Amino acid sequence: MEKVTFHLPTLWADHHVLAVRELLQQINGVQDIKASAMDQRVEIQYDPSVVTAEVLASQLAQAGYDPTRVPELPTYPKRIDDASDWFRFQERITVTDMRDLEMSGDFRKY
Amino acid sequence: MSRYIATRALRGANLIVNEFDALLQKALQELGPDKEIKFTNTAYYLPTILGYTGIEVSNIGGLKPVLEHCRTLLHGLPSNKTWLPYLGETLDAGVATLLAEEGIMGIRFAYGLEPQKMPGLELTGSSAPGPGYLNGPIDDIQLRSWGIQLVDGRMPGFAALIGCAKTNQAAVEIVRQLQQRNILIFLSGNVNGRSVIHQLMEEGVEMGYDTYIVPFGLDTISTVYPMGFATRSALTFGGMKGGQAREILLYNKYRVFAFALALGEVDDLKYATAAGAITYGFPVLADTVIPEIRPTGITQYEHVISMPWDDIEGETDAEKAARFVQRAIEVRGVKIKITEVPIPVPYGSAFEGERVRKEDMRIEFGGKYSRAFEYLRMVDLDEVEDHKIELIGPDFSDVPVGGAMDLGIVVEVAGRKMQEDFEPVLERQIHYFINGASGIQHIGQRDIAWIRINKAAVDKGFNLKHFGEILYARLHSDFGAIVDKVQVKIITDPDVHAEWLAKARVAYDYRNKRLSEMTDESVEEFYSCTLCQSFAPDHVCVISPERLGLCGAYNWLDCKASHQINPTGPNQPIAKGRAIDEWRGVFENVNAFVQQASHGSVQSVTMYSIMETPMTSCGCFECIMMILPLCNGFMIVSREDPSMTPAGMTFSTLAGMAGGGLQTPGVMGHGKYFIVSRKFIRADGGLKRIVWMSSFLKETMAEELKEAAIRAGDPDLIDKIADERVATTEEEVLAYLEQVGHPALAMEPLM
Repeated sequence: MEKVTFHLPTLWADHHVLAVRELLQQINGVQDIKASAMDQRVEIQYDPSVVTAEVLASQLAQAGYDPTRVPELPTYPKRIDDASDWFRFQERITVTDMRDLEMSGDFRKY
Repeated sequence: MSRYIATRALRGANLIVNEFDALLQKALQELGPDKEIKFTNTAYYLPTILGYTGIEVSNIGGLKPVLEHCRTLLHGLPSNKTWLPYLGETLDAGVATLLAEEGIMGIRFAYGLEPQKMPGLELTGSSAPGPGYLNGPIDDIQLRSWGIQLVDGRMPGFAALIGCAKTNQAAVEIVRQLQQRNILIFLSGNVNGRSVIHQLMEEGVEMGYDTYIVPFGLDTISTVYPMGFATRSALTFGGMKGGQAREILLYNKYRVFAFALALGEVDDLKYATAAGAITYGFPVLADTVIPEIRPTGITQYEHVISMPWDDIEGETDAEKAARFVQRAIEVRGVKIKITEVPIPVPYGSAFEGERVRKEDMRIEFGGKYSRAFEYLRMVDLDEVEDHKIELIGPDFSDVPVGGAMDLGIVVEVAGRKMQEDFEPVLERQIHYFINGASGIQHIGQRDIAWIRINKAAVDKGFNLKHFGEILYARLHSDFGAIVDKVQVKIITDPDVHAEWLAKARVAYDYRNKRLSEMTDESVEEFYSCTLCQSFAPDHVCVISPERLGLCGAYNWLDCKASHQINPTGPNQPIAKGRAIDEWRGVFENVNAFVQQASHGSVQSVTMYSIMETPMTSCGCFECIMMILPLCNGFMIVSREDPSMTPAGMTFSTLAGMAGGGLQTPGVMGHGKYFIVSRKFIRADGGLKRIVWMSSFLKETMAEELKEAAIRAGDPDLIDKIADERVATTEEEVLAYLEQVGHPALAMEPLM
């Protein structure tokens, strides 16, 4: 019995855990699976005489769980000093929304 | 605010919106933009999306603007250095997550993938398509039927359990703790493929609406269903409209006592979903080590609390669960009063719907093979020895397993404020009180009571005297204001049983006559019911002997008793005063009371008419009546009937027009038994005006309706009323009425 661990950046939520487990459970030779969405990692115990780590990796990759694929996050403009108001030291005026005040303390309506 | 939580929540939100985008593009291509999207039996489209944005999504194409809106709510991750404020960004991301999750669920519905399959699962009461399915979203019917309990505090709120508890035993204990506090339990999510749903299934815990445990789905995405439930509470009972996001969120913060328990590891999506829950004011407790957010702000107290299971004080899982749940309740700020009932099995309203199957049964009383009755009477103070519980006759130890025996429960109460009229009010509570014990099933009342005890309860030491303990504890706790002393006789001896059964039957007959003789004219006072104002702030029910509350739960006697128990409570006497129009039921004092109690939004109420200033409705109504102009009459659809009505709307859609304290002539919510009242829309023609009625009502109230039809002078009237089996459009109803010669066609025009 051998053990292999893959870091899968696309395994980031528990519906992916269900998908990865379902996929691996159908492969002959897979004995035990520990999939963690928190660590984005799957640990597989398998019988090397039936299946190899490479086959497991390629099956996972085909299903969208490629260890080398990092899910893309949209890029947002960096907050660099662009001389906008945000970075200018100035007096700021905050206006309290009266509705917020009414919702608090003795004025609570809800 | 924890930067770690913000980072993970923002990442989770970005990723789930990307996934929603990809799934939407796929669905647009494969199913087309016109493919219908519909959650189970709801008039609120995709409710979370409706609440936040006002967008009414009914097909795949309708999700495009939702996706665009999600994009506007997303932000980048906090930078490693020079941290800028990210609380707002994180909360925005939470909202985007919920919208995307609901969008994904909508698409899954369109593909037929929701509710999810779960082989071997059987729910007791659910919206699932059948055995072997998880529940999916709670339908409007169930939401409304829980309405009155949410309103009167019997059900303080809901707990969303996400993930998988440390052990099966821990899962069971957490659920039991919540059940004992009558908190609704919503289940979703998994850890390494195992969910708290699996754990409860393996331990044989009954799940379904009847036991207050609703398994939604095996992934975190299903957690959007509880959020939809919370949103619909505001839309249904708060009279809010889609798009009033601010009001809906505040309503939830102050009125819907909910919290989330994250069981096991917490991933990006769980953080993002938690951020969404926090916008509703719902805090999150985790049983693992995660960063905390302790300052108050969006939620009433702490936002995120970590209580690693192994670090919780306590020898057993039961003790740890008690502390964990207690902390959750403190963090949410829920006040819960628990009545200590000294019996060897768990006790709480959540066990009310529990069934005892024949194979699990130790013994039954009543039903096919024996007779059981219950009788509560008032006696003088000196005739009652408080807390005396007597067993008259043998116990059930000699009865074979699965057998039956006769049983009589006689409760004698005394109190200075007790009145004979309250006897039936208190007696009706016996059903709820006894049902609250885990492992006991109670059906029926009076001399058709039917009680089963399961083997597990008997193994834990439950015996007949415990019925007495339950009744003693609950009567004192719930009715302490009118009941000073309680004693209970549990009767199994055949001769004594026969003797008391005869006495009870004389009393039942007397009460029946008294109730049927009680008319609106025979009393000087009606009662108000503003119980639902905690949910529908402008609604007032006026309850008279011949018009019970629209929820069906409160009649005139209940209100009278309730007023005695709590003189400043929601049931206030209204002296009728001068009748402005006796026939239509317009009274000067009633109008004055309603004006004041509805904060000026309702000026006048006509008790016996639907066409002129009808009574308003909160949202808990058992039936909705609506005019069918073509047929010159009205239709009545019951809460249990999900089918299309001749008005072109289902119950759920109609409820949006009738609820929320609105006064709409021609549309009215009412209780089932108002239909057979002599005062039922008297000013508009009474029962003869009913041209269509859900078959459920015809079947469940057959006897009473027959009697009312005879009284109306047309014994065959009920058969002349169409139902969903013969007509679903107004034209079909009209054709049916003409065919059977319905009297409404010959009556004077309604409009």
